[in-house]
Amino acid sequence: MNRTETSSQALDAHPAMNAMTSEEDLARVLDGIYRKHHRAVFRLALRYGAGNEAWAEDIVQDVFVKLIDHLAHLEDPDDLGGWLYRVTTRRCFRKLERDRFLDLPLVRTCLRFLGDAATPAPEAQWFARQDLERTRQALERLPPKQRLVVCMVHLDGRTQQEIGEILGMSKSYVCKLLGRGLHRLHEELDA
Amino acid sequence: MSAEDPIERLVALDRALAPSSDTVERVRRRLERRAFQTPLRARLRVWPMLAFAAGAVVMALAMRPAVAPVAPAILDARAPTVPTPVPETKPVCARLETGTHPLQPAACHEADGVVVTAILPSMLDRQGSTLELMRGESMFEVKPRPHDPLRVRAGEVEIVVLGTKFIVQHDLYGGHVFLIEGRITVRMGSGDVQELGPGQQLSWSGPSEPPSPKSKVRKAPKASPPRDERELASILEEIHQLRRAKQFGRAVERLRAVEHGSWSPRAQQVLSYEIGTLLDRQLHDVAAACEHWAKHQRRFPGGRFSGPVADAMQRLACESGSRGGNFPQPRD
Repeated sequence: MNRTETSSQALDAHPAMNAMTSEEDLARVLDGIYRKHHRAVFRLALRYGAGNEAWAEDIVQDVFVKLIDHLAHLEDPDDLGGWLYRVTTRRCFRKLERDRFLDLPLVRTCLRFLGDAATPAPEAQWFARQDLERTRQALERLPPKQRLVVCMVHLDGRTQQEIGEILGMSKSYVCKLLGRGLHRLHEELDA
Repeated sequence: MSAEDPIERLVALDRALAPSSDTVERVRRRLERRAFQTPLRARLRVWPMLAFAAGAVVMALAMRPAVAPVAPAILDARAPTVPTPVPETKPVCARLETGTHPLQPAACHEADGVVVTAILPSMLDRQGSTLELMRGESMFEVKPRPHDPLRVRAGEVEIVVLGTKFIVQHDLYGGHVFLIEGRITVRMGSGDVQELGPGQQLSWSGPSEPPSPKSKVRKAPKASPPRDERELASILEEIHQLRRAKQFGRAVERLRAVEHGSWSPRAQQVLSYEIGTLLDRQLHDVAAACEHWAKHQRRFPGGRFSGPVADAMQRLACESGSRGGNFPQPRD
C-alpha cells in the first residue's frame, strides 16, 4: 500500500486553464479539467458517501460548478488539485452533517422518510460481493467528523494540522476525533 | 499488517470505489451546459452592485432637502408651483464692487474670497485687491490666497493678509485690529511692521485730535495704556503662547480663571470671545461652544462680536433655543 500517493496529489493543475482567455473557452477548459480530475473527486465523494453513487454525483457536480465560478479567481491556479481536494472534502462534510440531521427520528417523521432504509442500495449489493460490505457499513456508521478525519489521516496522509485547517477545527479536536473514530472502527470490524 | 486490520480494509474499500461511466458522462454533460450559461451568470453577478447603487441613489434623493413641491404639480397641473423656502445655512452677501460703499451693521459683502461684515456702520473702499476701511468697524474673512495677498488699509496702517479672519476698527482718532484666526502683518504709518497671531490686537492713534477738550484726556491713555489694557494684552499673549503649544484646554482654563475679574466691558467681551473661539475652532467641542456662545450673547447683547458669534452659532447649528433673546436672564 502506498499511502503517500494521496488524492490531492493526483489532482494536478490543468495547463489548459492558463489558455482560457474568454468566456467561450470556459466549456473547453472545464471539460479538460473534468476529464483529468473527476476520478479523484469522485473517489473522495464515494468514500465519504459510503459508496452511494447518487450521493457522490451531487457532490462532484457541486464541486465543478463551484470551480466554474472560481476558475478565473483562483489564488494559486497551479494548486488546482489542492483546491478540489479541500472543496470536495468540505462539501462532503456539510452534506454528511445535513444528512445526519435529516436522519434524526423526529425529522424523518416530519419528512415522512420512515422506511426508506429498508431496501439495500445496488452499491451495497456490489460491495457485498466484493466482501467489503462490512467495512462500508462500519464507515457509514462513523459520525461524519470521525469518518472524515480517519480517512484523511489514513487514506490521504494528511496531518492533523492540515485537517484542522480544511475543516475549521483545532488540532487537538482533530486528534480527539481521530482517536474516537479509530476506536469505533476497531469495535465495528472486530466484533 | 494483517488482512483484518481496519485500516487495510478501509484502503481496500477506497480502491474499490469508482463511479460508473454513465454517472461520469452524465455529470460531464451537465457541467458543459452549465459552462455555456456562465456568461449569463457573470452578468447576474453585477446585479447586487447595481441594486446597491440604485438604493444609494434613492436614499440620497430621499435625504436631500425638498427644493420644489412635486405632489401639487402632479395633482393639479394648473396650480402654480411655489418653491418651498429652503432654510439658509449662510447669509447671502452682496457683491462688493469697486468703489466706495457704506456698510450697515450685520450686512455682509463678498468679493474674490473676501467677506466683509460690518460690526458698526462703516465706509469701505475697494480698489482691486486693496480695501480701505475709511471709518467704522468691520470683520474681514479672507480665504487663503497665498499668491495674491489682500491689503486692508485703515488710515496710515496697512494690513497684509494671506488668508485669515480679523476685525478692524478705524475712525478719526485711531483704531485697532483684532486677529481672530491666522496671521497678519501690520505696517504702521511710521514704517514699523508687526506680525499678529490669533487673539492679538494692535491699536494706533489717528491723525486728528478729537474736537472736544476730552481729546487730551483720551490721548493720555494711548501713551500709557491703563492697567486693564496691559493685563489684557499680557493674558492674550499668554493665550497666544498656549495656542502655539497646542495647549488649548489649558488656554480655556486660564481664560475662565481670569474672566470674572474686574475687567472693562470691552475686555470681558474679548476674553469671552477668546474662550468661545478656542472651544469652537481648536477644541471642536460643539456642545460647550454652543453653550458658551449662547452665554456670550446673553452677557453682551449687541456687543462688538455679536455678528461673528451669531455666525458661529449658525455654523455649529446650535439649538434655536440657545440663541440670544430666548434665553432666561443671565445668572451672572
